[in-house]
Amino acid sequence: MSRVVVALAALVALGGCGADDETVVLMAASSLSDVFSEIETGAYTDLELTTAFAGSTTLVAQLGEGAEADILVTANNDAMSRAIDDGSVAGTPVAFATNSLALAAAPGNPGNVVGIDDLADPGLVLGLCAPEVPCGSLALEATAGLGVEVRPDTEEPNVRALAVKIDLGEVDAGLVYATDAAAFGLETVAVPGLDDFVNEYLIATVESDPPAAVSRFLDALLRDPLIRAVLTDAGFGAPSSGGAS
Amino acid sequence: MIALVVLGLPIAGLIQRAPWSSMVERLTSDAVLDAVRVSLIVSVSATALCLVLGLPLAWMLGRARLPGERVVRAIVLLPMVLPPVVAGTALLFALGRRGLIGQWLDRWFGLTLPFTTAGAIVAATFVALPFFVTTVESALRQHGPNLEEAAAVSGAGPVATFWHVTVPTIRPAIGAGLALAWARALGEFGATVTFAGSLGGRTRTLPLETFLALETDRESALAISLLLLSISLAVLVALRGRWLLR
Repeated sequence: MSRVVVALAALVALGGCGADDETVVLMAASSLSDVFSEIETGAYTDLELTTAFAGSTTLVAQLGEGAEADILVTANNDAMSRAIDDGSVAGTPVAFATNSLALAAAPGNPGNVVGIDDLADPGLVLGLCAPEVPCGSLALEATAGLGVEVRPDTEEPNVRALAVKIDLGEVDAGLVYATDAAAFGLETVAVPGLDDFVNEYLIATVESDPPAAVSRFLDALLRDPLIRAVLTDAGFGAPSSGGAS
Repeated sequence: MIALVVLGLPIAGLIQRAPWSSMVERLTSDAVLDAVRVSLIVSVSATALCLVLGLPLAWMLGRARLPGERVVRAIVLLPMVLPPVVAGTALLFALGRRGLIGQWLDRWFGLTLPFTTAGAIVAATFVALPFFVTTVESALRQHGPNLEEAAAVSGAGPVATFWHVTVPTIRPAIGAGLALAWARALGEFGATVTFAGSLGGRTRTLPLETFLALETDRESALAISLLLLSISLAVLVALRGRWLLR
């Protein structure tokens, strides 16, 4: 019963003012925070852009409890599917970009990390993202696929928190997104086969019939060459098929 | 009246959404039991540290005439007003492996605090200490030094006076202070996750477990939240508002 009430309230709120004609609210995975600050959104929309960055699962949970947004970008399919199942997202998801992992070491590489097998070393302080978040589930997939048994000392709630701890030297090494390693200027160790494991970022409008301005903005995010260039420079890969999942 | 609603509504929300039928099953899952064990170890150890460190500190503030007393008190109260994540960040910069003091701890003793249960205890102690110290200090100020002076006149040394006169007088306040410190240590999140990280069975306390569960298994998060809420309520009822009415 209460679920119905909350859902109704959310629908009323969303239907009422998802985009009042002044602002577009964008919720995006935390790994995209640098990219969006670089995109000169003023050039693509005369609306005011409000952004919220957090782990994809946090964003989905917030939307599920009635938070307002116009566009959602998640770092993997699971999170987007959950948002759709919750009824928070009504638009059709489209592939936005891809991201792969990098084995990042603390400045100066004090742990002398040379390969992925070092992740099994109990003498090193190692970090991963929590398996519940996209970065963490990809890391588990990758380590299993590459045959390494990792025993992390911490499972951070989002990839940026992990990148910060590596950058501070509190963690000897960890698996973060290639984009975050680049953003923080972290030293990375080449691991053959690691970039076979990829997370597909999905983007969708919250409403199935969004205001024209929101659709225009979404279109720009997907097709504008300047925005695509910013993504590529940051280390994101092109979306695979571009089809909905 | 409005304040009561503001305070009571979230609690009512929790109780109303709770998964009553699967409560026991959720609260006895491996992840939750691990978190309970870690929480107990961390909160009880932190409370013990608060007693050991806080009693002398409270005595200094409540009895001794310190130069710069206001500054000392401000420093003691700081963790109370500092946002927990800021506290955790500060701890990281001071006691982390590359921290101000932490780097020496690591170099000389091979002692690292981040990502260990000990680190979680340090974070919890840091935020809980002011609660203990203020409660005890306030009691010391209330029960002036008269009895202690009488004891001194009768020939008792300072240590004997402390144990046999001061402590029994303020015992209720010490008890209340410990209860508050324990509740605060149990509920700590921001400082713990920033300084000690999060790993099941080692540093993932109940609040951290709740945060993780909220995103993937909301029902379990609700169950744990209710558990923590009940514990907090029990502590408050046991104190029966005594410390509030000082």
